[in-house]
Amino acid sequence: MILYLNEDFSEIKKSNIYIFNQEDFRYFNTKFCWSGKSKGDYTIVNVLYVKGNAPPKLKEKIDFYNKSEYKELFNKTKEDWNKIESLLQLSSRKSTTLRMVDATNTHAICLVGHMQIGTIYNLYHREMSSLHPSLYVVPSEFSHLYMTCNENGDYVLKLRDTAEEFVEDLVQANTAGYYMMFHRAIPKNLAWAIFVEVSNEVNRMKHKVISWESLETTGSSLLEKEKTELVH
Amino acid sequence: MERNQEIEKLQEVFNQTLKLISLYKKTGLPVPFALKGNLGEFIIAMNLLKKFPKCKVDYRGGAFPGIDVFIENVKIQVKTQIKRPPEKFKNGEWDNESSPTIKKNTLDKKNVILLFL
Repeated sequence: MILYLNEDFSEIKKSNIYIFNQEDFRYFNTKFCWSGKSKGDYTIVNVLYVKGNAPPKLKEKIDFYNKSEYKELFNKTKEDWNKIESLLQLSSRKSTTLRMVDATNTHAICLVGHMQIGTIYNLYHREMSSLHPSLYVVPSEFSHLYMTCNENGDYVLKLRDTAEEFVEDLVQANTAGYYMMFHRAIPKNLAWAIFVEVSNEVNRMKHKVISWESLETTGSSLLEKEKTELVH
Repeated sequence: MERNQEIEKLQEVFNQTLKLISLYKKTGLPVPFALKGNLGEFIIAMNLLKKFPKCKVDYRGGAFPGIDVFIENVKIQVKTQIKRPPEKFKNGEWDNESSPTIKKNTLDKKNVILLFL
């Protein structure tokens, strides 16, 4: 939070509060952070204005943050208390039913059922919630995650290469309950989605995990492949 | 403790913290980072108490490593910066709002769910 204080610091004239969720963390950078180079720590800068020509080294750093994406970020995150609202709603959800939606331009989809949602909120963002309140889209950086079956027939989350610790956390967080997740990197312009119905009974969930809708898009062949992988 | 009492309690500590910060300023001593941080944490905790009256808000303020406030099970870290004046250079100036240092692991390992700046 940015505090605008009066001259003797006895009064707060104004305060700006920016609320970032884990999806926003990628905007933070080592530039302008005194320990950025040495320790890899982060900061973020909201450039309010630049007058005149800054010295080259300073200009380079200012230019990094003085972009439209940062301006949009600060506009979007300012007093965005809805982020908390969304998290709290997710926390109270016991089961999730996902319906077929037109997910054109979606990179990937994540489906989640009963879980300790607060821990894994970072997998979602809410842009798709207008289509269906239970559908969340995974940012593309999680495209290394996927789901598969183990020898007991349980669905487990696997990872392709990185983010191992993250996935371990995810799995541990859900040992008390259960969760259902599917993720696959999806090329743009494939309009598709997944049906999932998750019951509160673990055994039921194992047998009734995913059903697929037939698709009338160019993504149908890909989906058929996915379906086969999941069902077996 | 009733919600209003919780808010009043935080408000009182907030007021005293601001007074202390002002004292540092008046005497020309550098304001400790921790005090600035507390100020932001109190404001956020009070906001959460007011905006989410049915939720459990747990102010930790540094007692829990890396997490300043919980709302239900949502882990929050608050970073507070006192706005600095615009920075001048030879033929101009620029103004900005910036975050204090955020530890690498906080973001890389996603130790918090929300970060307030």
